[in-house]
Amino acid sequence: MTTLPPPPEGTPAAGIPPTEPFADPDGLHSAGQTDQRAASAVEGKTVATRRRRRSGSPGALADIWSRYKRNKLAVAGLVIVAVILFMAIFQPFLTPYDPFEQNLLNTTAPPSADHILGTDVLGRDMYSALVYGARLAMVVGIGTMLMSVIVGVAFGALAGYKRGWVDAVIMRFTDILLAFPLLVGAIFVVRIFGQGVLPVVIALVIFGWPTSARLMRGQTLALRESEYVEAARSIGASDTRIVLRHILPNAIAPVVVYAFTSVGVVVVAMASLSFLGVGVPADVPEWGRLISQSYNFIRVPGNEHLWLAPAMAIVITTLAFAFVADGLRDALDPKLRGGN
Amino acid sequence: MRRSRTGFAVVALGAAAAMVLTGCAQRSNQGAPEGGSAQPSVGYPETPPVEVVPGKPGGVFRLGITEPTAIDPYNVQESEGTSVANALFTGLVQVEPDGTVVPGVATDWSANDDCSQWTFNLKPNTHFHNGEVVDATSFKRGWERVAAPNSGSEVSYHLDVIQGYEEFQAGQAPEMTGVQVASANQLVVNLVQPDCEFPLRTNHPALSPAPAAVGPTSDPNYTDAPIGNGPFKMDGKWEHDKGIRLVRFEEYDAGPKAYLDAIEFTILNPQNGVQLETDGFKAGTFDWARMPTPLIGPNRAEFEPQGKWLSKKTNGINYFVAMNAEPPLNSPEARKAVSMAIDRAAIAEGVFKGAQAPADSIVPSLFPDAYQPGVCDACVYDPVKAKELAEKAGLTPGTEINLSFNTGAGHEEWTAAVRQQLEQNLGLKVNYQGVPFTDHLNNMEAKGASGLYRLAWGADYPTPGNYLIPLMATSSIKLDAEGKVTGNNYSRYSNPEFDALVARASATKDEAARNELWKEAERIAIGRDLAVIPLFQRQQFRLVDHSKWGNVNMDFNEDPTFDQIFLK
Repeated sequence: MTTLPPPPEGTPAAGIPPTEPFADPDGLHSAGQTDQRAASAVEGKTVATRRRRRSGSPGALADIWSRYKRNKLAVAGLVIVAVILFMAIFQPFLTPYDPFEQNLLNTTAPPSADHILGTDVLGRDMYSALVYGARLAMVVGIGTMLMSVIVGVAFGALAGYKRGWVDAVIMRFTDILLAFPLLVGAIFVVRIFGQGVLPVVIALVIFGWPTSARLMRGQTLALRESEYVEAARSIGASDTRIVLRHILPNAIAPVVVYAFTSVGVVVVAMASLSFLGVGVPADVPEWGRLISQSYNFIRVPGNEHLWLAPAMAIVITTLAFAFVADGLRDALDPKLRGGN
Repeated sequence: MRRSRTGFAVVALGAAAAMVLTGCAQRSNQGAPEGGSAQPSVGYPETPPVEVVPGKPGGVFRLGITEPTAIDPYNVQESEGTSVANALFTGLVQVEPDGTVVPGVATDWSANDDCSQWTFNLKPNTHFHNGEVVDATSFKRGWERVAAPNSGSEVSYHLDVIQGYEEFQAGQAPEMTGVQVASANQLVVNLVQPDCEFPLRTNHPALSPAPAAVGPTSDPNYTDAPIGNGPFKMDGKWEHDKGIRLVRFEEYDAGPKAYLDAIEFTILNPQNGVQLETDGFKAGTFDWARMPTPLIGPNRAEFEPQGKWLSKKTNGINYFVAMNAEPPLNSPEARKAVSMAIDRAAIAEGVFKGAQAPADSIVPSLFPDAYQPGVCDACVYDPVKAKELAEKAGLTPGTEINLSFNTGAGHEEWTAAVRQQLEQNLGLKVNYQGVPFTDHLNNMEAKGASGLYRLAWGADYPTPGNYLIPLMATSSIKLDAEGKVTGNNYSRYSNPEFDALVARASATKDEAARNELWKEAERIAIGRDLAVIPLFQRQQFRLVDHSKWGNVNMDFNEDPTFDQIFLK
């Protein structure tokens, strides 16, 4: 890619206000459509154009939904994700006990009327601990996903659009980060920043953004040569505008799909870090910690709830996000778009 | 695709809301469940020692261990290596499981007036496995092999009380001058300072004799099949990560011959070795087995009635290093407040399921003549008294205190319980931190360290002094140029009165008088000053079939007494 010429230094915005005209395509316009819109994009019609697009939105969304709901697993995944998010947000109202409160007089108790999933090795209510764990998993999972995507998209777009040495530097940097096995790298980072939720998020973002950056760069490289971008440039749209308004919306689909898959990866990664003793502090009822502290009980009859419950929580969450990502991939793929 | 932003917004809002919403009224999770507590009482009882009776030759004793660091005395360190080395070698003296010292190769030993010079008379004409005679030179050879500049030994410090050790180890002297071969069967040892318990030290494998045919410490061909003088000899070489087989040494003449035909050590993966030992015992492939902590209760219920259970309080104390030199624990009141706010019994029952017993002293009950039950009067749970003491000491609610432990070694749960107790009972703000063991040590050693650090201590030699001196004597702080602690007194407790007492004890020949001095020293350092905070007494559990094997006891190193066991 280094053989390609660098893009023209910032297309001059002289005279023509860089307003809406082509902004936006819902991701699927043909070059022809773009041209038409470009042609109609004379000053004064801007507002009308915007309105038309707005009114067209529900149609596109409905279109995506109609394709999404064909995938039954994806719908099931969406329901589960919604439930987990609900639990995460309303945790304090859903947990019968303080998830941190220990009771050394009643440890490793099997499920009962008082404790529907029993108690853990410190006598904490297992159900409350799991719901609290869901909140942690969502805060870390979604927080990490958002930050990785924001950082990744920014650097990916920059690399793909600017090309040249900027591209080379950013891509070599992502190569270095991607060369680290996720867990090893994350352990390293957590050792530097110390234990806690924030260091875990930082570690996972550091090793999570390169993938979205690479996806974004690939898309940007392809789109920057497309005719509608060429057209935008010809009428003087600035680089920032072209990237934000024309390239980003069209390039984001694969990144979104990846983002949903990555939530599952992040949830597992955090649990693994905590299982290994380098994630959250040891007294936080996090899913990986709950498994780690019951590791020795695996062969002790009558204590299955100790490890089975948190293990199932991780499995269900990861699968749910994977199903959603799978459904989204199909729904957002223009090649699968039905005639509408 | 612009709409996906809406999706992000919803998700972001959800995440934000999740972070904003905080706790509300919930049910109390306290007290025993209805229908009474199912928890065991604190600490499982010890099983009485098995009486040693004459046996008959025969039997192969099989057990699992993890890969030892070394079985050659030059670098034997952990329980596994010690187990093998003690079967292969017989030192000057031997220590019975109850702590009594009995002759090994030496028939008798005596000291000069101030215990700075020791004379050992050896049994004439005892033999190594290769037929060589064991004499005073063999011991000098063995000790110098360990202390040699390039030995690669990590345990040569056991010899550092002998004159000439430092010069010899630095390569400045051709021999260790403090070890003198007076005659073929008389060994004279000069010490750098009086030590009336020196013979106990010679029980460590590092002080074993070596034959003239000994190989260099750098040669695995030798160190994997060392030539010893003990009741058992190598059968082939140490198969790394697989096993070690020892057979009876038929010409053993330093003591009574062993009864067992052979000992088979199977080397197991440390990750799940303990579980495999239990599985092996149940399947009949092991004769002696450890077990994972959660299985101790169920195993006891199953095997104790069958006469296949061994339980013993052993050489070890789990304790908190309490940083004496830095606030907030720089006063005895503060340390006692913290100690009395910890409910050891509840942790022993709830978290350890009765597998550990609360400690009430730093010198464990393994030393019946020096053990003082309840010498640590602040080892009793008393939140009211704790609060009073805390107020006196300025340990007000909200005071920050470090609570540090090493990860991956099963300390997560009980330290989490301690954290909650300190927060609830004293209102302290606990900085709770788990780090890998090397970091944990570094943090403890560092200048300005404060708060509580969990640690365990087992004595190298069976004497109370090996608890008191390393953990609390001023001489064991050993600050380096940067102010780092390089000894074992991480608490930095320094009290001239205590130092004088332990020095006097070390130089006191009479055992009873010496034990009184040890006791007095502990009353000051633990009873009055609480230099360190004792938490739990180490207790060990084994599965072993007493109806099949006779004379099975657990020795000082928590290993079976191989030289006495016989097949019934």
